[in-house]
Amino acid sequence: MALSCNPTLLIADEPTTALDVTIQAQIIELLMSLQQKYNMAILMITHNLGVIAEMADEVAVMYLGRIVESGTVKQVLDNPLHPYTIGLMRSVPRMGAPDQKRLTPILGSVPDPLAKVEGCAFHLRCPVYKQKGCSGKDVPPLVEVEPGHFVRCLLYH
Amino acid sequence: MCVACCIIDDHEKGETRMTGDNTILEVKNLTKHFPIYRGFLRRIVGNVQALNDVSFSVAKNETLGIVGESGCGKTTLIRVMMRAYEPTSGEMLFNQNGEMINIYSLNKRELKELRRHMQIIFQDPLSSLNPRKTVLEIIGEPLLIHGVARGQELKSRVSELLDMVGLSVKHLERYPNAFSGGQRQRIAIARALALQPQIVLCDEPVSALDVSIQAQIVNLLQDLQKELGLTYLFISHDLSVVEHISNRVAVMYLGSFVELAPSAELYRNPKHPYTEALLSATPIIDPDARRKRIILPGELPDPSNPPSGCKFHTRCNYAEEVCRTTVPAWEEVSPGHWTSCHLAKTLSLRGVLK
Ligand SMILES: Nc1ncnc2c1ncn2[C@@H]1O[C@H](COP(=O)(O)OP(=O)(O)O)[C@@H](O)[C@H]1O
Ligand code: SF4
Ligand code: SF4
Ligand SMILES: [Mg+2]
Repeated sequence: MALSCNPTLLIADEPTTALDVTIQAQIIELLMSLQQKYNMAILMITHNLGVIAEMADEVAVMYLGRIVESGTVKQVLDNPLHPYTIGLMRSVPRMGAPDQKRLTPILGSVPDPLAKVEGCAFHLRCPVYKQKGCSGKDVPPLVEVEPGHFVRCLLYH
Repeated sequence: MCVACCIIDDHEKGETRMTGDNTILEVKNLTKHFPIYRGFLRRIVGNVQALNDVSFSVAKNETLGIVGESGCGKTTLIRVMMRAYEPTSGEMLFNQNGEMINIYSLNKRELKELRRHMQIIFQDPLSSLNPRKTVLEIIGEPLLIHGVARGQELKSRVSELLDMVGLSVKHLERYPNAFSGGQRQRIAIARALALQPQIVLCDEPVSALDVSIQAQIVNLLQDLQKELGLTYLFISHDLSVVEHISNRVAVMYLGSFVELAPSAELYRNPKHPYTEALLSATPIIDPDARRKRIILPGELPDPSNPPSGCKFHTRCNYAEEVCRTTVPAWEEVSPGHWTSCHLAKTLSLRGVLK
């Protein structure tokens, strides 16, 4: 991994996807030591919630091109509020939690990005969709529900 | 789930092996080396030791998970078990109505008969499904080949199978590329189940799927197992998925089993340093559980020239002199818990919980 000059921001786009875990661990360790050395920020793009939990200070969850929830990694992963974030967390098996007998997949699949979904982009798959505005014209705004913890969902209005 | 209980009960009684009639298959010292040819005369200059002396048995209705990183021999194991490759040595016994039959001694016709009982699901359904055949043809093919059904009966049997995997009759005449990854894996599962097999070998069946689709397929496999009394061999490099679905788990490194134990035991109380390293390297979705990762030094050795003694000694943090010279024996360190490490009884290794 080559770094020129003294970077202040490193953008890592799925740097560990498709790697075996021991190599993934080597890469994470490397990124974190580079961060220390250059005192830089890392923007880590990944679909692996475990990597986020291990590395990140803050996290933003995206769905169909928009941030739907953001906050500190503890706020978001310990207390997920957006139905999409909750769905993601329930659909993955957690190592060391054998009492988790069954996974709960998110309903349906990601809509075609070209198809225009009105209102909340997640409403076609949302299990708690009940607010009138969910399928209305406007995209729900990001609302700060506790200091630093933002959610784009009408349930929290 | 009841199998897990049976196995644990067995252990409490101190039995080291499952009873004969509960064993659906038994693999003994299975070894596969691929010759490396060089030069004009195609002389054999070495061997890729893809699979070495692997032994285990599988109980009826259980899920045995196998984890290990790329190139450790998982697919080779499955291919040798299906007899897509002939083994270099070793045997595999299959329980056919109470009689343990060595599959490597079967002729072509007997093998075809046995294949009905043992089916396979691959990681990438797109490459395992013929793009020019319809769903009806794909799922119906094994039924035709084995003379089980044809014509209208075939169609209704395939419709039942589609229903079983959560697809519908309206999909019968479509081609694989009309489906999403998850749906294609459902088609592959329906095809694998067409002949009502007893055991299904799953080679990374959910590794190429998004997490939510992965959850759907994992749930489907679990439902089908319950409904049909299936036995699974479930291969993956994802330790979380394997723990979730398996009753027992085996860990492979460089062509060998290094550890085998009931899932909860293996993840909480690993006895092999490689298992410990894998567990510590797997990220956990809990920001409060950040742990010290064990970083293995160096890279995976070349399987055509594996290290002497314990094959893991070049990367093991605990290695001693004996590890470089002597191959550790595959031993049962506590009931049902097998490993091959000289220090298994003395090391205190860290599992997945604090
Ligand atoms: N047909 C083959 N000829 C030669 N080498 C092979 C063949 N198939 C697999 N290998 C080698 O055997 C080892 C194990 O491969 P494989 O079983 O595919 O591992 P895994 O499925 O665990 O990733 C690798 O080193 C691979 O390169
Ligand atoms: S806005 Fe409505 S549809 Fe969207 S996530 Fe919230 S409850 Fe669900
Ligand atoms: S036998 Fe030695 S080198 Fe091999 S895993 Fe055990 S301690 Fe490590
Ligand atoms: Mg493989």
